This record gives sequence, structure tokens and C-alpha cells, in this order.
Amino acid sequence: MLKILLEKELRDIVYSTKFAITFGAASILLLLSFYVGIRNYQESLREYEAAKTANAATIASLTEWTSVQHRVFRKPQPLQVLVNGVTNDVGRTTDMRASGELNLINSRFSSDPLFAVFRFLDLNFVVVIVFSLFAILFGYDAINGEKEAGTLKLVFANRVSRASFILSKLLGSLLALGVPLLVPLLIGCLMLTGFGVPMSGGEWLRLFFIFGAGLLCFGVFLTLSITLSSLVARSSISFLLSLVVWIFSVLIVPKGSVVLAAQITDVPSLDVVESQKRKFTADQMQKRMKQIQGFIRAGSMAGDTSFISRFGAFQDSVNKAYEKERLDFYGRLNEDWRNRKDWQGRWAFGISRIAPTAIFQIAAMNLAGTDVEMKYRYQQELNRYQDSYAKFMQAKTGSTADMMRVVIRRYSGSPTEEKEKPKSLNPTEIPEFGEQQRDPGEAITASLLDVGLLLILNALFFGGAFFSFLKFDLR
Amino acid sequence: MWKTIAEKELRDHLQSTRFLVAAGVSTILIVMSVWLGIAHYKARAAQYEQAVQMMLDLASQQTNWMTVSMSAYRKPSPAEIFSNGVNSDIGRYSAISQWGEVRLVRSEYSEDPMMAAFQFLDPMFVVLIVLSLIAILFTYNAVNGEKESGTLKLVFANNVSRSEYIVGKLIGSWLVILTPVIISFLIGALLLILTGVGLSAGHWGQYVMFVIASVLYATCFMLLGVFVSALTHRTSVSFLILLVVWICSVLIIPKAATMLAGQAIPVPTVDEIESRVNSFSTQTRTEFFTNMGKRSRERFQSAKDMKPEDRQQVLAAYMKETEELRKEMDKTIAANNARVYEDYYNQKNRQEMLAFSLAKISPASQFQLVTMKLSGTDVALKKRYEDAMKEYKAQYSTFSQQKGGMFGFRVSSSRGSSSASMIGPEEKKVDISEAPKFGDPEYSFSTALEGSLFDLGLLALFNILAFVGAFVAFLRFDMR
Repeated sequence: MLKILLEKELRDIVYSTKFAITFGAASILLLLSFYVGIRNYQESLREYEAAKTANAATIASLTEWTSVQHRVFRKPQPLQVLVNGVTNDVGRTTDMRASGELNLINSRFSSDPLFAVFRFLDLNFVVVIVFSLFAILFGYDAINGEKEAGTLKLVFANRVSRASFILSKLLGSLLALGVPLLVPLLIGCLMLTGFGVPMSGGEWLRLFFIFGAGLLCFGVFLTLSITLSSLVARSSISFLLSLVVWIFSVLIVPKGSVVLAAQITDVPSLDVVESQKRKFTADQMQKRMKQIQGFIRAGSMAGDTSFISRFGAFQDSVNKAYEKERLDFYGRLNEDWRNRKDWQGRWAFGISRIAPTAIFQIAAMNLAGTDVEMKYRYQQELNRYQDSYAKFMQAKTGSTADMMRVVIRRYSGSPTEEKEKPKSLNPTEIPEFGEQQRDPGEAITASLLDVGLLLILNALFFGGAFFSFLKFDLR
Repeated sequence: MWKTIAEKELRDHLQSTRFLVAAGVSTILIVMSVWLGIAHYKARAAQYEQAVQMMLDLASQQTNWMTVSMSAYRKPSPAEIFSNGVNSDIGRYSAISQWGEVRLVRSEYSEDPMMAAFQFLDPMFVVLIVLSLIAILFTYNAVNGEKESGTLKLVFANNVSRSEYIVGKLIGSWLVILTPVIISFLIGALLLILTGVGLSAGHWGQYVMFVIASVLYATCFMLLGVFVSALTHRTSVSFLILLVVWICSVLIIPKAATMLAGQAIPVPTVDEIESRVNSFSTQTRTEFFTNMGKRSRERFQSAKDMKPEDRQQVLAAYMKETEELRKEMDKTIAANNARVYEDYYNQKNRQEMLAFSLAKISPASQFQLVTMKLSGTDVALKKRYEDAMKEYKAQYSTFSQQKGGMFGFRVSSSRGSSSASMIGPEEKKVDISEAPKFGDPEYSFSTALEGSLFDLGLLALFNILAFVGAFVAFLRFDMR
């Protein structure tokens, strides 16, 4: 019996105009999001290469390592264009310095506000908005629609148990709607390979997890709307209810939770931290200036040629002490701020998980490596690179000191320097900045909680639909 | 007669569950979004005050203008409550110094990726998504639903003309949608007054215009709903069509338009532009320094055997000459920068024009662009601030040069005295109130209105078209 009912359900859905239109729309959007993502990726990769080349060219045109202003750029990743997350909000460019804090600047949206107005169409967006709407359109009248049309009574005129009917309804709609969605997803994968987007095995694995999470999110909305359909007698009401649920979970809860978390927890603005740092540095600067002044007063009048090198050595030793002091202070401040921020983030994402779409979004961002932590992970990589860069600069210029020394050197140019023609610099000598790919295991582990939550919600609403139908008033 | 029909339509809807749910949801959401906007604005304003105060405090502890680090902050405006636009994407402040370029850094979203993950909920967004959906929900079965239930035939059994009927229908539906919108925006206005945001008359004007734009936008979708409903015979079909139209115009067209424009008119990235500018200025500066070093050695060489007074003269001449050359160099660099940036902005403008013209096919993007213009959070916001900050930078540079604060070239005049001029002989604290203050670029109500009038007109035109469409479609509607 279950088989016949299942077959009927499948045929019902697949042959309907509703299915043709909505599935067509969903597939087109899905394919569009892949296409747009791929084009975007290629474009940003080109921009990335161009920026790197321009940076190298600038360095090559110089003759002194002291005047080099090295920049490093964040390399675009294929998964980032499919699930944008916060990629476009985090800075892409960093002015590399041998010491001091590094800043991320020129985020995509801040430098190109045009794209920030309407944002991008990515896979994440299609799943969150379109998949969920698609599910609701088929779920809202699954039960009460049959009652209104009178077919429910006809079915139960036969020897059909309620359990087998609802089971076939649930499984039938999950199969009839979920399986077709695999088709555009797989075509999307083919597009990725066809356009020659370099994806590692780990990235494919993460992508399939994203697909899985997307289908689970779809399942939650489908079972949820079927539950509503068997709880309410009239399909127009269950539609309204589903739509309200949709509006809240897609649009309101995620945004609201962030604002709410900001109200609950008290995190000082970064300006405060910044100002504390500036004050500390300014105080240090004053002290340092006095020391330098003293040194110069004591030594410069002698006018001997070794003064410059002695001055450099002195500066380095002073610098090191200050640098350490400053780093300690900055580190404490940063850590304190991060802790508070993490706490706020936990609140925000905790509350937002009321909405299934938010759960999916968090899972997808974690899998794609575009989650909120992305900025901090990248900063860590930058710091690691800074060490090797500092070593390199130390070797090249004999100092990691800043401006001060540069100026002193320039003004005191020794006569020997003038005779030999200054050679251009070779930018390839600078250590290469290579980002590490996110470990797929790590990304998947980070998303497990949310994928699990989606599974639980599926089971919950599946059970909900089942039991509420057992009590459904057929009259 | 049309009055009776409008009244019947109104009564029909007002008593339905659909109205109750829809009106409830939209009212709650609009009021909530206004409240969130107020909370957000207040937090931003407090942050702004704090940041500026801290900057001034720190600066006033310095004893030399050289160590003063100035920044210009963007002042939050209450108009952002209505439509946040690109406000959170653009940097909040720029450091102001003689050397560095003006660059807005630390946007709200880049600083706080948590916010960026889900973004803000502003009234614009609620109207954009929820009001349009509700408008469709009320009208997708306006005509064919009556046919399906058989009431259409009953109505026309009486002495009713088709045009009267459709006009009554449209007015009735319009009032139905207008009711929750007006109520919720009135509550919003009350909130704005009670929370003491301190709106000026201009801001109220912007608010009123925002409400008008919202009504126009919702009306547009309502008319579209009736139009499609009069074109099709089954409500399920008209609903599906409307949903597809809604998805396309709210979600797809705007995004697709910008992306198409991005492909059609490529604009170099900021990184590319900056490195072009940097490489030119670094080269020019290096040349200048080398040249200066050479000249200084020559002068010192020639002045070696002179009398002290003559030596002083030579030195003074050298310094003057250096200053002249430095000014010349600054000018060259500035001219090059201006040229590069002008090209860049021209290119960008063309891209923007194309993107927005394409996007305006959809009433949703028209509405979005109108509200952003009204609130001054449109794409041009960045340029407005950058220009104002550049002007301020010039002012401040002149000022600090007068104060001898910047790392002047006098340092090099003689090694012995360099330290003295770097640190300053006296330990007196600087008087920060002497420094010029940054004034935010003006964005008055009339500017806002001027910028958005065209798009508002377009929205109105859409309304007229949809009205005519609905009217004509009903005149030809097959009632059998």
C-alpha cells in the first residue's frame, strides 16, 4: 500500500505545473549562482595577480630596501565565491611592515560600494531564500489541501492506514522535490570543473557537505510546512503561517539576533582599543625620543664616520625593548577584546539558531571558510608571515627600525654610494606569502554541530507531521 | 457605485484572517526595524563621540604637532535609521596626515564580521521584502478569485460597469494595504520622538519622503497583483506568476544588474590604482631625495672654507631651494594622483550608471535606490566623504606646516640640531583647539530630494503603467 501511495505522491508532484515552474526557477537560479560565482572567482583571481604584479613592479623600480613598501594580498578561494559569508567585508590588502600591527584594508565592499548595495547572488543565498520558499510552496497544502479537494476522504475510503498515508506523503515529497535538486547541483559541479576552477579534494569534500546541509535545510522547511498543513484545517491559513515562519527565519531572526546580542553584551568599540594603543605608543615615543636625543647629543658632535652604524645599533637595541613592551600590551588588549567579542558572537549565533536558515548559513560559512573567524585566522597567517618578512628585512637593511633610520640614512648618504650606480631591487627575493588552505577536517568539524542540528530538526518535524496527522480531523 | 465596491472590498479584507496576520506582521516588523535602527544609530553616535573625544584627548597631551595624529570621523546621521544603505560597508574614519592619502578605513562590517554575516535590519529592508509580499498576497486573487468563487457573476448581474468595478476594487485594495503601513509608520514616528533621537526638520522631511516612497512601492506590487490576477483565470497560476515576478524583481534583477555591469565595464581594483599612485610618488620622492643628498653634499663642500656668516647664507639659500623643490614635487605627485583617480572615478561612474539603469527595471531596486538617496547612504557617500576629507587634509597640512609640526626637511640642515627640531625645544602641550576641525559634507533635505526625485518619478510611472495594465486587462477579462 505504501508503495502505491508513494508512487501517486511522486507522480502528483512531478506532473504539476507548480513543480515545473518552481523547480525551473530554482534550477536556473542555482546554475546562475554557480556561473556568477565562477566568473567572480576568475575575475578576483585576475585582480589578485594584477595587484601582486603591480606590487612587484613598484619594488623593482626602487634601489633601496629601506624604501620598499611591500603589500600582500588575500588570495581568492573557489569556495568563497559560492558561499560569500564575510569574504567581501574583510580587507584584502595589507601593508607589510617588519614590526607593528598589521591592518587589513580595501575590502571588496568598502572599496566598491556599488556591489555592496545589492550584494552578490551566491549558492548560500539561493538555498536560504529559494530552497526554503520552494519547500513551503509544496508543503503548505500537502494534507489540508487534499481535504479541501475531497481526495483525502476518497483515499481513506480504501483500506489505508493513517500511518502509511502520512509516511508516503512525507517520503514522497522529500524524494520528489529533493532528488531533482541534485541535478542542478551536479551540473554546477560540472561547471566548476569545466571552467577549470582549481579545487582540491578537500574543497570538493567541503562543497558536498555544503550541498548536504542545503538539502537538509530544504528538508526542514518541507517537513515543517507539512506539519503546519496537518495542524490547520484550511490551506490558506497554513500558507500564511508558513510564510510568516519563512519571513521570520530568513529575514528577521538572523538579523535580529545580532542586534539583540549587541544589546545584551557589552563590547567596547575597537576605537577604544585603538586609542589605548595609540596612547601607549605615543608615551613610548616620547620616552624613546628623549633617549635618542641624549644619544645624539653625546655622540654626534664627534663627527666620526662610525656614528651612523653606532646609531643604528643603538636604535635597534632600544627598539627591541620597546617593541616587546608594546607587543605585550597590544596582545593583552587584543586578547581581552577578542574574548568579549567571542562571547557576543556566541550569543548572537546561539539566538539565531532558532531559524533553520541561520543554522544552514552558519554551517555553510564554516565549511567554506568564510565564517566570522576568517578574519582572525587570516590575521594569524599574516603575523606568521611578518616574522619571516622581518628576518628578511633585517638581513637586507640591517634593521627592522622604521622611518627614523631611513631618514637618517638618506640624509647622510656616504660618498661611496654615489659612485656606483644603484642597482634595482629584485622583488622575488622577498619571501612569498602563501596562505594555508583551511584543513577540510577542521572545517567539517566546525560545521558538525549545525549539520547535526539540521538533522535533528528534520527528524523533529518529520515526527511532528506524523503524529499531528494521526490526530488530523478528516471530516 | 465604485464607492460601494471599494467599501465592500475594504470590509471583506479587514475582517479576514489574512489581513489580521499580514497587518500584524508588517506592523511589528516595521516598528521593530525603526526601533533597532534607533538603537543602532545611538550606539553609533556614542561610538563617534567617544572616538573623537579620545583622539582629541590624546592629541592635546602631545608637546609637538609632529606627534599629533589626526583623524577625521564620519558623523552618523539619524537619516540612516530609515535606510542603512552602504553605510556599514564604508570605512568610518580616515587618518589625516601630510603624507598619507585619505582613506576611509575600518568599516563597521569589516571591523565586526559578526554583523556582516547577517547584516542589519532596516525599515527599507522590511518594506522591500515584507510589504511587497503582503501586497501580492492581498491581490493575487482579486479578480480571478472572485470568478472562482462565483461572486463576480453575481456582482455583474447588477447594474455595474466594468470600469467602475475595477476602480473600486483597486481603491479598496489600496486602502487595505495603506492601513497597516500608515499605522506602523506613525508608531515609528512616535518612537523617533520618544527616544529623543533629535531629528531636524530636514530629517522629518526625509522620513515623510521615505514613507511616500514605501507607499508607492507597495502600491506598485498591489497593482501588479491585480493586473496578473485579471490576466489569468486560476488563482494558483496567478500566485505562482506573481511569486516568480517578486523573486526576480526583489532578489535577482538588482544583483544580476550590478554583476552584468561589473563584467561589461571593468574597473581596476583599488589595489591596482593605489600601487600605480604609490609607485609614481615613491619614484618621484626617491629622485628628490637622491638629488637633495647630492646638492647638500655639494653645498657643504663649497661652504667648508667659508666664513660662518657666509656659510649661514648658503645654508639658508639651500633650505629655501629645498623647500621650493619639495613644493614642486608635492605638486607633481598631487597632479598625477588627481589624474589617476579621476580616470578611476570616471570609469567607476560609468559602471555605476550602467548597473543602476539595468537594475531600475525592477521597482524593488528603484525603491531601494530612492531610499538610499533620501537617507544619504547611497554609493556616492564614500566619494562625498573622501572629497571633504581631502579638503580637510589640505587645510590641516597647511596648518601643521605653519606649526612646524610635520617632519620638515629642516631636520637635515645639520646633524647636531636635528634632534632638537624633531622633538621641539619646549615641553608645552599643544593647543588642539587651534587645529582646523573636520566638517561633515552637507547633505540637506533638498539635496536628498533632488537626488531621488527622478527615481520617485520612475516609481510613479511604474504605478501608472501597472494601473493601466490592470484596468485594461479587466475590461477584457473573460467572466464566463
